[in-house]
Amino acid sequence: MQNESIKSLHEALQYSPDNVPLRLHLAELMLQEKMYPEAAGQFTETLNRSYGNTRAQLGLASCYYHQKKYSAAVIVYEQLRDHLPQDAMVLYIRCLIKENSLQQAAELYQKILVQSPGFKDEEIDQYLRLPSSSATHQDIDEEEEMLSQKYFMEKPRLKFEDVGGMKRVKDEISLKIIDPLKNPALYKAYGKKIGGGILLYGPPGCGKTFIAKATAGEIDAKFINIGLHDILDMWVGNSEKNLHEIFELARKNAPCVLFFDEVDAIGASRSDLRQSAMRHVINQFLAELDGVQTNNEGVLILAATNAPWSVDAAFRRPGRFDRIIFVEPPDAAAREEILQSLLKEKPTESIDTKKVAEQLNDFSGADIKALIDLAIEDKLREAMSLGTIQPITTKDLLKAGRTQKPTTLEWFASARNYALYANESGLYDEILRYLKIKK
Amino acid sequence: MINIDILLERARVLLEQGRNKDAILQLQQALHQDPQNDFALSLMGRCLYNQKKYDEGMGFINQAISIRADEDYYFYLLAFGHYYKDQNLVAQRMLNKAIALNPYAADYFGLSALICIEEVELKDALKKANEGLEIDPENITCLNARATALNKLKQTDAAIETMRAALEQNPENEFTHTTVGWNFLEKGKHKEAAHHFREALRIHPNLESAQSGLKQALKSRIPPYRWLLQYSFWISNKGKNLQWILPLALFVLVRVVIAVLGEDSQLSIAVVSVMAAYLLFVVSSWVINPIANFTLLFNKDGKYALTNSERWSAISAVSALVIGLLMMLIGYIFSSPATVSFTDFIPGLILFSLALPLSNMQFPVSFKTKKGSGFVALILVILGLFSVLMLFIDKEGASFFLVIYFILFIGYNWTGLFRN
Repeated sequence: MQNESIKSLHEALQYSPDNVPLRLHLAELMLQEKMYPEAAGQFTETLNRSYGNTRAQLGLASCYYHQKKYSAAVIVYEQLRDHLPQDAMVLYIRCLIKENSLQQAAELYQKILVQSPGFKDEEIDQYLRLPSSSATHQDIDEEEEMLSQKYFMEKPRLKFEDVGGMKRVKDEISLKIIDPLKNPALYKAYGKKIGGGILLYGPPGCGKTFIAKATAGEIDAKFINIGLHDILDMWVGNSEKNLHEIFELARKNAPCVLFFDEVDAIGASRSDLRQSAMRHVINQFLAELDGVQTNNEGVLILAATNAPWSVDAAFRRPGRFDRIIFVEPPDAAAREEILQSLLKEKPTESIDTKKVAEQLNDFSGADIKALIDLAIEDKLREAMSLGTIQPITTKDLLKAGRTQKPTTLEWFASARNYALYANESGLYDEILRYLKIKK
Repeated sequence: MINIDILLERARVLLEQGRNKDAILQLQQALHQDPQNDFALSLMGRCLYNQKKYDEGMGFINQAISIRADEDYYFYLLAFGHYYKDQNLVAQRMLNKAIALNPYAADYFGLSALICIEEVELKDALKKANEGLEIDPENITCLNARATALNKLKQTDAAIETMRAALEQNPENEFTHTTVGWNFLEKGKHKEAAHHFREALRIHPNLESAQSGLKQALKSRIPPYRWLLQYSFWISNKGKNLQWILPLALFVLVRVVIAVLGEDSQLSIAVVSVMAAYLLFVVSSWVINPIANFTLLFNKDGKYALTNSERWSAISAVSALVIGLLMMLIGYIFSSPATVSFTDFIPGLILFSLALPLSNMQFPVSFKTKKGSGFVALILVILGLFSVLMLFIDKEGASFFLVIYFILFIGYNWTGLFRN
């Protein structure tokens, strides 16, 4: 039936070759009948007579697509770029994918998704959505590789058992993050919501980053560490994009621990906050945190700060950083563990680590490391002049401990005042407890 | 290499967040790329100010000025450095330059007013503050300076009005609350003062002026301290120099009166008693402070407001007073009434007198103290304790040490009149 009409149309055209609508009708019929080379001929002929005819151009491109002449199709679509109907757009994207111009394809695809959010096309999705699963595609892999390098994505082997002391912190993290992940049904039965982040605070050098990394190791997840500079550049550069990029990277790599070090830098000083323009970084962060547009399932968000008082109060609302944990300097037992592990492969002579640890009140992990470095420097000098390796002794460490002041004291001097004067919601009770201040 | 603009922007954000160390790292990189970048130099100066390294900071600001001599803000920053270093004259000169370059910055007038207040040029202060407020009626520095100046000029109603305006402007400003606190304290209203200092500390717990204000307000609960504080406000409002001119003038007056009229004339006796009363007042004022601090130890807030040094100074001075009194009492009880003599009281008296050097000492005790007077105080305490010990072992030998102690003690306290 169709063939007949094609035939008669063909004949009719012999008599009136300049009848453009007729020729177009013929060409489209041919296209329907999958007579691609013939259809292409007719479309070209139409264009010769009516230059720039959109219908003819669309038809021609479609013919090229079906003939697998992708680059030719791309050239035609390119001319029509801004007037493409959705079905033509889909073909265009497919051509681009075949031509390996993935970035352009992705941009166009986003345009479609804006117009009709529910749109799905398996062939395209295979390439453009879930790029992490399409391991075959180089471009996307490279981009992700770049991102994960930019933000130091890693898979830590560290476990909780590798972290000395900090029992309280470990318990809290387990309760909040690890157990829900392992027994989701149990939490559901009690109607306890899973999610939300943890904010770790305390003096510098006491292992906040370390415990965050160990959390990732404990649940066998990836770990992304966002440092001060990454946060700062949100202020400086195009913050929304960067922040979104970071959260997307984490979501794609779930299960993943997303760790924000020095998170207070996201909010600026109070005086700045009054300028509402400065709030956009915070708002963007909160939106990502809440998972407004996307699901944060499998992404565990941890944050650390030395200055919890500078952290925007909005961060502490339920569902965000609703658990706030004080990471205090290590106690004597933990200090002993730290000493032992740091001295493990150094030349030593029967060191009484217990005695040394007891002398190092208020020392943070980082302080202990600095102290050992100091002792080693002394020993090196001695060894150099004597010509033999001199082992580190208890006395050396005690001496170094006397000359060095713990860096946590400065932090506590400031934190103490916050706990005394600005402890409205009992936020800093832990600091008061540590300093043995009764209010 | 990172773009210098990014480095500077990072540094600026870090500085605003109070991360001075991190900001300095960024600025060092920026200055490495362009050592003549005046903006970087000025930011560096501000970071160092925040770390209380004023001299270094001013060095950077001066460099910035040498590159761009027409930037008013740099002169303002320089003035700030001098202000912190108590070089008020130079600070004022720098501010004048800043104002000449840009007469429309209210903050410049605000700082200028604050400096005038320190120099007790209250009318000038008020004028400057008002000029600043003409430019920006909501400028917090100018409002605070105006309130303080009015308060000191005894225009209480206007002062209260200004303070209310400042608080309405921004109820969450720690500096305003501190100013209001000090103004109340000066009016002798220690309860209201304490309230505002607490409020300031709630907003900014590490604000030193609010901390010391709260301490004064709490101590003012005991009346002798309150009077003392009023006296010190009075004398500081009379001008910077009165503090050391007054004792000297009194001393000269005593000498002149005695020389002219002779020791026995009634006027001479009257002048000498005034001098003695004044000396007693000043000397007792030194002891009242540790006693007031001592009472703070039993106060819920006060306990933590004291520094370690103040705490130990208070405890040791009060112990010296108490033990000294007890020993004098024991000396009186155990000596038979017929033979009671002055010497029985000497050990107690010496211990009692030790309260003076103890209240001026830094704790923990160190021989490497930077303050000369602190060192003398330490020597006095050791000498005093030693001579008390000698009194029980070898009375004859003790007298030698007692004389030295006495001379040193008088010298120490006499110079003390000019120290504060």
